[in-house]
Amino acid sequence: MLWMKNWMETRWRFLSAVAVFSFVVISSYLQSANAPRPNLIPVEQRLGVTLSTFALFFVMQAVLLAGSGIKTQAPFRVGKGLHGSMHFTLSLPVSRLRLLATRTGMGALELFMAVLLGVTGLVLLLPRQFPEMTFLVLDAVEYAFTVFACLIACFCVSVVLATFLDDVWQMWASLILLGAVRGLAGVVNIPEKFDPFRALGSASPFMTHTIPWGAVAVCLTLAAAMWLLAARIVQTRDY
Amino acid sequence: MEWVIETQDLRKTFGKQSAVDGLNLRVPRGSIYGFLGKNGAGKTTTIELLLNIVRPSGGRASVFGIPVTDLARSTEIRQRVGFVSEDKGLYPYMTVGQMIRFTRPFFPGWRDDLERRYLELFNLPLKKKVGDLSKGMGSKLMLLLAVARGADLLILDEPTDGLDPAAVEEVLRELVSLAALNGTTIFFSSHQLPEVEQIAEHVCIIDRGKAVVAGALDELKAQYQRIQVVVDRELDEPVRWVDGVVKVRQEGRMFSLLVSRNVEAILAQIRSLPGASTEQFPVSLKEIFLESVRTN
Repeated sequence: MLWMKNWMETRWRFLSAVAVFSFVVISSYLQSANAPRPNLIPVEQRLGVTLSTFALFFVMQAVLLAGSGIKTQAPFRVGKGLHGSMHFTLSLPVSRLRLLATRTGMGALELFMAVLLGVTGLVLLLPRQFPEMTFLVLDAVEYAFTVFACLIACFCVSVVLATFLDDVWQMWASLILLGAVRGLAGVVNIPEKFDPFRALGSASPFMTHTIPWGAVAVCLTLAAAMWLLAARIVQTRDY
Repeated sequence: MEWVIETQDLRKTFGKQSAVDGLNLRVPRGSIYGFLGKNGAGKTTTIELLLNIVRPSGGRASVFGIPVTDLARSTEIRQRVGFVSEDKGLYPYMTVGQMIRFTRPFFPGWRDDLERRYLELFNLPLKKKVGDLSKGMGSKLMLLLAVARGADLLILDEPTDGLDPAAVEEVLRELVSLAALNGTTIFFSSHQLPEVEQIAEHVCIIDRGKAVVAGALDELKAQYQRIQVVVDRELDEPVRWVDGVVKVRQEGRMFSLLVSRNVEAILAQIRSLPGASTEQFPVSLKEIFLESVRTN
């Protein structure tokens, strides 16, 4: 039943995330038919920029889908001192760990679906935008895996924030934090093979035809650490 | 006597602010227990401590003999407890029917008979979204979800809040019958003192996180009395009342005393006053409450 609750709680987020991404893909698809092709910039560079731009949308999806933790209601929605449905949820004979696990499980599942749909859209869009390049199905599968692995880290950072922030603050705090990390990554020299941002853009499997295992390992490790931190917070904090 | 809820020197602080400050509480099995206090006295925090929603800063609390801090067994406590929260928050995106279907599987002892009875009694529309219910209907749904769990203990935080007088009467009647027929222990907080007086067997008045009065309501009402004294001439000096006088109001030669104990000694002292005549009156829970939280 918790899965049903989590789906009902997040379905509009999921559908909105998919709708926004679909809109971007479709409008890019339609525009690419008429747009004059810039030929001064190398195609690999243009593809890298395009993939990095789409990666931003993917990150926003991850942040959005990580919301609705235990503490969900924004204060302005329920009034000072009120807790919305949180106390009812916490009064159920379910451990906080299980609440977190089902919530993140549903979010991860939705993220997986969003990534699958998104990458499918890209597979349709990219050959039209970059006719001079060849896009293999295997590259798309590897790209989907890479995107999902990198996004799970963003998702879990956001899950940690959702353990103590309401939905509105969680989303803003996640975006600011991830933006700061992105900015920092531009300044600090991260070894290329461990750089998740490159893995989603200029060093994606569409370019390298291989999974960037270093970056994937970094992201999965970060995701696991963040989830354990979220579990620790959820089990010890007051609500 | 078997205690369903027991706290010893229970404490909870938020930063530097103390919400519960050495609370000692014992709720007998099968009783209806009224938990009273002003706003901010620590009632809701105590309830949150009992349900492990917040963690104690000190002291001990147990429900069904299980320490509330025992994480491994805390679900066992919640399996046997029906809860109505102060703000009656449920999932606004679910319908009444979905809310019931969602809650039912968590409780193996779910009472279909009580579910049907309360649906009918409260006239709850199964297909209406919880978010579209009035405050009163929301309270009724929450009561249904708490009662139909088949719980051994109901913890109700302002359960009649938002209900019309007729619905309040219905709810109070149901609570009494649950305690009488099923042996359910009912621990409820309320600002509505007449309601508490109507159904509670035991009460605890809490002020600034401490229990200031606790006991069986009948005993408390027998202990507390108002004694009216009239003396036949003005007294030369103010009376130094013996222990047990909670409050004295004087108008000329007439004294109105609220006493909490030691009645015989107080009556003896009154008899020593010149030409004193006395009359004793029972006091209401409201008077006990107001004097307890004022003097404290």
